[in-house]
Amino acid sequence: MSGTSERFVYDDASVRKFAIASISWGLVATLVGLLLAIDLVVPSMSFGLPFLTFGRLRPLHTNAAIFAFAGNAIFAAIYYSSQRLLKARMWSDKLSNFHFWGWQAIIVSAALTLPFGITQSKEYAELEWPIDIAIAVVWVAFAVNFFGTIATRRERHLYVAIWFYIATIVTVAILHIFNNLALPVTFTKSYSIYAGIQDALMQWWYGHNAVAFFLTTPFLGLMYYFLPKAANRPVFSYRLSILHFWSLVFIYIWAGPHHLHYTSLPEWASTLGMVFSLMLWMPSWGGMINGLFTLRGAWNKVAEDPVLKFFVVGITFYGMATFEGPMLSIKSVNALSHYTDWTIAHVHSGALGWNGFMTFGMLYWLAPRLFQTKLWSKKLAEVHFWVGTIGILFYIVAIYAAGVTQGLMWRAFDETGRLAYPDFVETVVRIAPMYWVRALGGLMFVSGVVMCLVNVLMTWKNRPAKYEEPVHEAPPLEKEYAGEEPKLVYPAHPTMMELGYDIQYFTKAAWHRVWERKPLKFTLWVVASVSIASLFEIIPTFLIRSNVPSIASVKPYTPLELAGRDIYVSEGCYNCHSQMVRPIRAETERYGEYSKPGEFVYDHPFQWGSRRIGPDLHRVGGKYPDLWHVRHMEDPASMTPGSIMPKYAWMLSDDLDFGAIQGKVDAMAMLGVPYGDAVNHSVDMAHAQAKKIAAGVAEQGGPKGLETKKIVALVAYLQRLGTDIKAAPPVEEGPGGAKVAEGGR
Amino acid sequence: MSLTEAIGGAGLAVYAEAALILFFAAFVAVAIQVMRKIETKALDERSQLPFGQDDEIITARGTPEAKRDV
Repeated sequence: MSGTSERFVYDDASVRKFAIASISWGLVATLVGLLLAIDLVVPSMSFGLPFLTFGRLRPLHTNAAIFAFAGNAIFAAIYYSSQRLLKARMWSDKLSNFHFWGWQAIIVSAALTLPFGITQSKEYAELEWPIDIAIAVVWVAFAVNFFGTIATRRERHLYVAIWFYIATIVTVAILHIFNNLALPVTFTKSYSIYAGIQDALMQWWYGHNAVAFFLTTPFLGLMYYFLPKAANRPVFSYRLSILHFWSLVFIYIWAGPHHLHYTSLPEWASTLGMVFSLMLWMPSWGGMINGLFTLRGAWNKVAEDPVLKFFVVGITFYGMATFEGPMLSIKSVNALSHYTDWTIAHVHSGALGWNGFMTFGMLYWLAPRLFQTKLWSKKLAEVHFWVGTIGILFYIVAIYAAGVTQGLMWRAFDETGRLAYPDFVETVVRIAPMYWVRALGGLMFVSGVVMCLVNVLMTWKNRPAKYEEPVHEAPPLEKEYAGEEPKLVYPAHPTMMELGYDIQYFTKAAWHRVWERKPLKFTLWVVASVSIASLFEIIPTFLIRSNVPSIASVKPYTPLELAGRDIYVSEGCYNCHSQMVRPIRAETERYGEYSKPGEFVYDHPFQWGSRRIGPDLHRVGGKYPDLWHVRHMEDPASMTPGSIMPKYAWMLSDDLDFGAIQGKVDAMAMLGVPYGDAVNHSVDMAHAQAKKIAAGVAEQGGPKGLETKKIVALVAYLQRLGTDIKAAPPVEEGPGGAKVAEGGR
Repeated sequence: MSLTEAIGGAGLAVYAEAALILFFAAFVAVAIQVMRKIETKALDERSQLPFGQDDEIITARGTPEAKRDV
């Protein structure tokens, strides 16, 4: 080594912490998932406790799986591989520590808020504004540490894994900040600044790309580092990785609107999302091919090594999920699959198969290296692999069957032209056996997670008294690049000199060779790629008035209805019920008039939902008497035999916080909702409407004294849903804009 | 003319078709140039980057237990 070499050691302590956190949170996430799976067949599993209901626990499950299990896994991967690929210790030990403990504190905060109904109700972005700010701060600290490490690197070229990490870090920051813009009402409550279709577009721009840039790109980075290491052979095609990376980064960001087919989202946006989703087939399969072909000539190793087994099955699931995703984005397929369990099967084949198995493979490869001893039990890792694989298959096959069954039953007509299964609960009862099989598959997968946790902890227990810290040496980077540049052949004619140079520069892929050693330029191009696509979709949606034709009869929610809406949000009703009747005959027959964009202009945030464990609720207003709703919330199965909805009996006993209503109305008014005079006497209006509803319920033979309880607000909201377009438009508007419906309905 | 009017009159019905043609063309162009047999040596060198470090398993006694075989 020359005299200019520098000596350094890697920070593997941070990697150890993230690795153990990942598998520990993985157990929590999958256990909650298993509880939810059982909840759907045994609703009494919530024991009448609010914090154990499906609506409140499902966000905890998804957040724990994505941000705690997968999140800690990608941080372990990034911290381990980046240091070695860049030949530099992480830039700041303090920032590494802050990142780790800050992220764990955020996860604990999620566990302490979501089950207690503190939520923004935007899928995978449910956490309330103080936690969102904490996420932004911790993420920026992570980014500073990562880019600081790049700045102090001793390896000129950025390897392909680093490109994927860069894309992850910058894009997740953009998505998180813009989707979570909200107006705080209290420390635990906020309203999205967006409403209706604009909120829906922002949410699924975020939601889809959270999958892309939190569950795909960092795991591809993980694959590009750990798979070659485990297989002891370089990646199949570095060329393919260039193509695959840029097309993935550029195309993925456009695809979000495919989550909103046949909704009130404008047609052009929906079609754009579908087209780009189809184009995603190419880069996605480029990644899969590059992964699997890396094992060319080494498949004999797969039979002996559980690490490679996990990687091979993980990449295969990636290929399956990324084939299925574009297929589901085709409108005619989506008309059948959307809102059904088909989507749940799709995401679990990706989450359990791709994210789960890539994480397990990485952990089994890392454990001996991090803890500087043998893996405690290779045999147990083998058993984990088979139990996990069979568990996933049980899970997804059952839920695919359930999803297709739901979709076909919802759209079936009999020979007289009527719905063949007019009662929604008929589909619920039909798929219950498949839910049991899903729970069995889930139990097997959880068993595998326990095996992995035991294996990692036992390996950790056998660690040496003191970890060795190998010292590495490498020369610092010279300020100027002195390496070989691509050889360019200049055309003979002088006037063609510049053009020829440019063409050569492009066709020889010299541009990418240069970008790979210029991290700032590389990062700016990533930012440009994701930003351009985002703006092409977001700006027209916000600016074109014809996207949201106004409906004169649509008025803001009354103060009591607004309070009821907040209860709906808090209980996570959107996890089981949609509020979007699609313009499909089977839906208009079942639910009524299809939903119009102008009906959601005061919905901060939108509540369209993404699945129907229960029926759509957008036209439920006026469908049943108030007493029906009271009895239904008290004991759903008493009104709908076969219902799997948990009891919400506390709605009839818990007091409504009337004192909070004024602040909520004020916040809505600040967001532009034309409350007019209601701003000044919202609490009085709420009391008046509550008394009216409670009196009506008592008259119908229901319980008395409900005028101060949460149930009246929830009933007020449910009875308002979807009714505005049935009302005659107001003859004249007051100076404050649209009038608030006095007394509701 | 306001920005709202300009974007409103931009004919977004052809947005998706135009985008598909544009980006498919770009994709093909990039694919052709990336797949050409050029820069092979430089690309191969870069694909070896993960193997430039020692990260063998170190036992409690501090002796390497498994070494990379490439």
